[in-house]
Amino acid sequence: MTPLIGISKQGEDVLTITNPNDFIFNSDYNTFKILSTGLILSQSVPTSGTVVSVAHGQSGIPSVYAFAKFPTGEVALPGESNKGTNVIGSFENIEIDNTNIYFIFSSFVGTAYSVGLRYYIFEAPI
Amino acid sequence: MSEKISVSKPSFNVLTTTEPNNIIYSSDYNSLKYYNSGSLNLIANKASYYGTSFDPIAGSTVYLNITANTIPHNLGYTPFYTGFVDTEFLGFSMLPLSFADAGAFSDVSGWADGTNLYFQYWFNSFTDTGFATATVLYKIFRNDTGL
Repeated sequence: MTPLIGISKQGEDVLTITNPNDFIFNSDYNTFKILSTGLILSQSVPTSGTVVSVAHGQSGIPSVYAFAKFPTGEVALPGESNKGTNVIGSFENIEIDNTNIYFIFSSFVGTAYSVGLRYYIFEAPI
Repeated sequence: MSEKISVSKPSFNVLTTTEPNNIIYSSDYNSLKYYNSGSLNLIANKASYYGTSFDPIAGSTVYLNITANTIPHNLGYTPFYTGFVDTEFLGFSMLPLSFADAGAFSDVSGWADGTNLYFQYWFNSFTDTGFATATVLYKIFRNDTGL
């Protein structure tokens, strides 16, 4: 038997369970490590196609997950606009290259609006 | 050298490897901490449409519908979350989902704040009778987005 480090959920016998979902930690399985994260606040979106960029500092193209907060309060994933009767813009997309993460926004109104961003860089490169 | 807990993959020396991909666990790195998951149905009664438009291609009236549902998370901050919707085509698709074809559109979206997760189903229909349902699965993590 190959030795392993396992921590089961409460009520589960760590010596007998085999379902990964019954483990809090199991050294047979890699963890999806967050290599870094960042918070970017008060970014102006004056027009459609506005790009907010940040250097990711990783070798290669990392996996990225991000949320944007609209001034109307919604915290949303890429592809979402704010909601309600005053739809001002959209968090269109995330693009990543070897150097930067690019957060792309649209504006549906004639005046600039402000967004905040939280991004997570995960272990495995894409 | 700071102290840490680390478990390397087989054949890698835990004392010397620095590449995160060679490490199963390292206390140097945060991870997503699971909090909660569930499912919900966004059910729209087509008779309760909020507007109409005319589709010149189909030559008929289309009815605009929207329905929403809320999941309280009680975390007191806006958490990391993800969601999936049953497309009723091949399986589940990550939110948001927007689809348009031949005058029909469907949009299922989700968002969060410090109190709730919100899900919305917006679509048009060529009829104003019956019901339409979007099934959403969601997962919430304890990680605070800080937003």
